[in-house]
Amino acid sequence: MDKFLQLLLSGVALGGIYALVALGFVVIYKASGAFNFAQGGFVTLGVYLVYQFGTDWGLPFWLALVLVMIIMAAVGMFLERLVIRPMVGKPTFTVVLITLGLLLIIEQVVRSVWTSPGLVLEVPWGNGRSRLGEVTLRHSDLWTMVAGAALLAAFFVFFRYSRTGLGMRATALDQEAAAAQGISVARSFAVSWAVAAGVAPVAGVMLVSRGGGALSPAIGFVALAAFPAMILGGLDSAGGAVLGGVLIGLAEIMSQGYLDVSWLGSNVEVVVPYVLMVLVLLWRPEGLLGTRRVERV
Amino acid sequence: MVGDGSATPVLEVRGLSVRYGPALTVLRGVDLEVPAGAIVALLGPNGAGKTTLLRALTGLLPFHHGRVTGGEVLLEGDPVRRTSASALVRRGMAQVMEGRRIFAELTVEENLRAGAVTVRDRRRVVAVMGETFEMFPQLAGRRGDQAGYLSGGEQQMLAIGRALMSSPKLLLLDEPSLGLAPRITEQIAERIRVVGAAGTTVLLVEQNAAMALAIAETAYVLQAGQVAMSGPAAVLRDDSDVQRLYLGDG
Repeated sequence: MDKFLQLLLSGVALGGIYALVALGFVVIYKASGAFNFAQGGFVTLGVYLVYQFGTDWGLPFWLALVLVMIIMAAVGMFLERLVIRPMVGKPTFTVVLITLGLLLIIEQVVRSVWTSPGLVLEVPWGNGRSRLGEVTLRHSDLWTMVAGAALLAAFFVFFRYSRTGLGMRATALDQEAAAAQGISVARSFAVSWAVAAGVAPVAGVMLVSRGGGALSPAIGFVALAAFPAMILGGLDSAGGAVLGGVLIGLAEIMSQGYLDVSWLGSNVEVVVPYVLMVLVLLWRPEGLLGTRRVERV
Repeated sequence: MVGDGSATPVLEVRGLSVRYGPALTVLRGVDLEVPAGAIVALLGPNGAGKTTLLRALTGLLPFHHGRVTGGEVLLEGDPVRRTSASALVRRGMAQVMEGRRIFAELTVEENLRAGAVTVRDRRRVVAVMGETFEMFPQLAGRRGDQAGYLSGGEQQMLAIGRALMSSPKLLLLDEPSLGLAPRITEQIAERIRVVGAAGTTVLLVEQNAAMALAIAETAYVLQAGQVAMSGPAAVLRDDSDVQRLYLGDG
């Protein structure tokens, strides 16, 4: 039972990280219907900037994090204006390929700016752990869950109740009809990129902190592990991103802990999220909480 | 009348020409006037350029790679030819697009809120939504439903209600009767009459000339991108060409 509780906690926390990354993907998908691979790059750049401002230049961690969130939001808006806006009206596939290019460019920039190996991000909770009965709770996991819950709540309120959020949902469904209501399509896109890039540093910090603080330019690709989480939950659903994240996190950790399939080779748990994703898609193509396309007969 | 403020038409179109892509000219020098408080009908066959004219008026041409190549559009006397779609809504122009174009995956209430996206005052949005539900009681009972599951007539009412959420001075409607049963078309026509009576100026684009001429005071006939005929609706109703071409009297 203790093993189960321990794995449950660990799985939910890992899922929380996937959820944080997935939320960034979802917000852009919701506004533009495009899948933004550069989100992984935003996660990488974000966490390196937090390292730069906080660990290296000595700003208080929380101040550094907030500052970087603002900087990244600006970076997101700038990139949208520079390379995405000119593609409005072009096939979504082209836009997606551009975001893939952005991911590779950002990763290369990070490699050339932060050249020294073995950089370690310092976080206020460090590698702290607490014992609750027989279960060990990593403080980084606790903070991940708090951040995930807070951001999800903020997303929910934003998309459900704010004019900008509703405008973004309408834009995703029908750009021209949205414009006809007075919704600025350009503004919807800009805001979605700002929000997605703005939350990326939080996901990056949690991802790195769970791994003990070691920075690597390849974090962006690790972040792509959030991919099945997002598909599973539904590409356009913030709640789905979190549900998908937690399910995938749990599936990964539980299969690591319980599944004895050594005859399949090692690291089977890495495949489990994708198997789960395929199974869910066969059953519900729009994902668990994704918007069901309306079909009238 | 000249210089009298009340005589300024809500909408005035002067010599408007529109082109799609490099060569396809769709409108050639269209002149049209919609006086304050009037219901004006715009008739014409498929491909005459009716929808293109509405796109040009509402700033939606860029979505179709079209552009205005000549002429001017005046909204309450101010030139708005280069004004963006969202700014035009803010200035009091709203439209019901061809094919309704409601947001099928959003709820009825969210569709209405989307129509009020330019209204900052939340209390005002709530008040206007109340009026909309009074005007279209069928929608009130389904406010939480996904709009895509409404019937065709209800969707058309939602599209009209959504356009009215910004309390426009000028309402443009593109083929509101399209695909609807005659009984439903009558209901829609009646609602448009009510909207006009409440003081909103209306430009109604229709292929259903009988319906449009029944509720409009003035009408224009567009043919091959040019105004072929215009005048009081009663006169056009009795015109032999109009009867032959649009009212089905072979």
